[in-house]
Amino acid sequence: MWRIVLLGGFGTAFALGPLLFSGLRPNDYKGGRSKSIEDSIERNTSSVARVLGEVRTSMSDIMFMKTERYLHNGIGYAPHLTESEIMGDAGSHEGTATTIRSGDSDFRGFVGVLERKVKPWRDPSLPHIHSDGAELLPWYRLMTASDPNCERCYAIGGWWLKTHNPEEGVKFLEEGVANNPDSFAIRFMLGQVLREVASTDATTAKNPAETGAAGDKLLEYSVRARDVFAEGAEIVMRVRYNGAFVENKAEWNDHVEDDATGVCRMAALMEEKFGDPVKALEMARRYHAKFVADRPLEKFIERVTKELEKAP
Amino acid sequence: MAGFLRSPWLIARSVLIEAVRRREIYAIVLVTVLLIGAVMSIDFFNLKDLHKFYREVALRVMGIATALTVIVLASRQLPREFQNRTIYPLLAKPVGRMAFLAGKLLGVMMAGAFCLGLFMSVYLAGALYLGQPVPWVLFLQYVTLQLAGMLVVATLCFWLSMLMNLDAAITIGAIFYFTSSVISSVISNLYDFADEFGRMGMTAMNYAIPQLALFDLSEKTVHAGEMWPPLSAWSMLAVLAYGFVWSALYFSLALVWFRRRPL
Amino acid sequence: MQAVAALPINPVRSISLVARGVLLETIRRQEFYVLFILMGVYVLGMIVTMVVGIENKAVGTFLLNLGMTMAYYSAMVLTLLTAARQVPTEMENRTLYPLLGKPLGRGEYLVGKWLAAAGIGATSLAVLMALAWIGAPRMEEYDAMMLAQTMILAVLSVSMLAALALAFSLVAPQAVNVVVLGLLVVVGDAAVGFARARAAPIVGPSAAQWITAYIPNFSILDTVTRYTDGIGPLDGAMFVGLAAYAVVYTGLALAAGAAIFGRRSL
Repeated sequence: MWRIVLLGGFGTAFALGPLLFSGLRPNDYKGGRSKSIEDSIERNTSSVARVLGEVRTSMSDIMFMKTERYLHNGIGYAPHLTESEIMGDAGSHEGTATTIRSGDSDFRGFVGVLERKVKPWRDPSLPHIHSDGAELLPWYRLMTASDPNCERCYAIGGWWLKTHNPEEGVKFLEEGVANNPDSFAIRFMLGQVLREVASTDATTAKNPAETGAAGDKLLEYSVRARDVFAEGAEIVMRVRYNGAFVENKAEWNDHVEDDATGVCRMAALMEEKFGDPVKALEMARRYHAKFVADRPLEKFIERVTKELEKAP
Repeated sequence: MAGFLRSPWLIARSVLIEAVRRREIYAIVLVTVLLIGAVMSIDFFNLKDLHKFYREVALRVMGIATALTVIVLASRQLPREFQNRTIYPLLAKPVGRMAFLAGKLLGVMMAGAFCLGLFMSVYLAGALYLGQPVPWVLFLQYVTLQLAGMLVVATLCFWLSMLMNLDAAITIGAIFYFTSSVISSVISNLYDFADEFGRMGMTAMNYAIPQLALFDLSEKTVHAGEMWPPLSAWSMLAVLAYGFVWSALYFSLALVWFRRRPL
Repeated sequence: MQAVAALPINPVRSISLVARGVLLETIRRQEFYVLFILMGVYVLGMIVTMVVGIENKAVGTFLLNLGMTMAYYSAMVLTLLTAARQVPTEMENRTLYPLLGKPLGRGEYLVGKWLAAAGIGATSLAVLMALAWIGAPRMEEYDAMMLAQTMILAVLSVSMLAALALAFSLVAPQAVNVVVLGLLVVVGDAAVGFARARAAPIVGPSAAQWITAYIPNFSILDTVTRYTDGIGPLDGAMFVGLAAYAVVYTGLALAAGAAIFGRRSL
């Protein structure tokens, strides 16, 4: 009898589990040392990390390391790529040490020789050979499927998709926005990918009729990009402190600042091009007041002010 | 079959038959295939010609599953014979302990090869279904080195199972398998931080601990292409010889402990 | 059998006898070797750290996190291996039958096994966590209350795993039990997130959220990183909710296990 009572009681609690326990997310918190990019760089480039080889401090670090490996065709190099380098010109980085010792500094005799034969290894003095990035994309899909709050995964994955399949990039980043409604970084990337789709369609059109359709699409996607940038800029206005940039103030590092200024500049620029220049000027002034010193925004304000004064 | 080979062969066959009859290998294969299937069912942005991810996931998961199967099988051979008292009638027959141990090892390796064979068939079927190219030479080299690595792990587990109880042998065998590459990396990298005496220690450990990473060709197989041609015959032979030396050493140690154990 | 089972016996005494039996067997078979070896690995790690040196606070925190995380996972693995083999081994060795021939209920037998497996896991956890905490440099601020909560939740996690492993061992082969629960322990949160992302396009996001919430999620009981991140303690409701989560899964696994075991013909 007691078995039935216990089974019934626990079974009922289990059945109602999604209702009772859905809010239990003790590890969903903003900030924290493990999520700090600066701390991550300090950890992953430390002697301890070097000794441990490719042990990393979090699942997302491990997955990012995997993408670096894929970028280098399987060769393991010491951490050397910044986030902006992954999303841009990765550079040739000759001289970066490989995780497997080079022959001239290896004390391990035949074991070292065999390891260099069996594992992907290349003389570190030679320039790095980078893959085109398409093979990295499944890892970003996996990272975001397992951690839908990984903003960095959406942003960098979106950047790679901009080259390989921008339409899919838009879907991926829209999913990122839905999962991270307060992320201006994902919106910044989404806006850029939307612009990419628009420009690709406009330039690939071959005849006048197609150009017309592409022109419509250009406008549609550009307006969407404008709105996304504007949403991102509003989030920045809400979450960023007032005043000039101070490194690591309120966990606001230079990567975050780059995205914040980027999304605000683009919001003003796109409003000017695909909306109302007067409104664009007002937006730029508001953003500039927040950042205090942002040269591109200052130049934008000067230019648009002059143009509006000249206008009849 | 020559008389002196007959007994080990019969023992090996009974190990294989028992392993094949138990549901565990098939269950492991099924769970692994479901896992890989679940990962591969994701739509990767409608991009075609993505080969590396499938290779990586399939080979990695299958390699680990095979290693765990071999660790469990090898660790439980001798303790179970003692526990179930089935070793006494066996050794009462004219079967030497060396022949007995060799037969057990052969059986475990045949079961491991059966498991790996099942996995590789699934991998190849998946690759063909997805229209992916298979880097055949590297792939066959990968399978060969996996088996060589399994031989080292199996003989190590035989020895461990003579030193400690079954669960401890399985746990230590698994810990060694999973941390082997970290241990190699620590030995390699700690050298730069050590003093003269420490460096001598690192050099000694480099040779005194088997480097299982040398039997893992999965990374080159995953990134196969113009950059990574198959290994030369000499490299393959050198790695196989390395594996054989370690296996012979662990087998001898297991045999010494086995001989010393009173019945 | 019915008549024997109906004899008046004290269930607490029966359970404690089974648990004691497992613990004695553990000592007799020198299974604590594994714990000693793991402790040796920790000491070796400390020596390596001393040789290499700790350059900054971030590295100190990383080492504390690494040590405590390894302690948590090592204890989980030991618990899983201990719990998953209890019933199959007893059945295979035929030592279960004389045991159940005594006036001992199958439910009590299972609870006794669970207590022992959870006890072994909790002891390993305490020893390894203590080693990690004492051995690692603590160069930043960490919350003492959060440490206490982390330890309690880790013990509950170990207990939940022991119960699930025992229950699954009645219906699945040992290897499958170890692999499936091992995967849930190691990549629990990621697995749940992944399953949710896969199910959402098929059944809709709300249904996917509901269905995947039934997958036992050990990751929410692991707050080591929250502790080493210097985040404050969990509020009362969250902590009680997490404890209740572990208790419900543990209780259900044991109750279901007892029901399955009770109906099984031996």
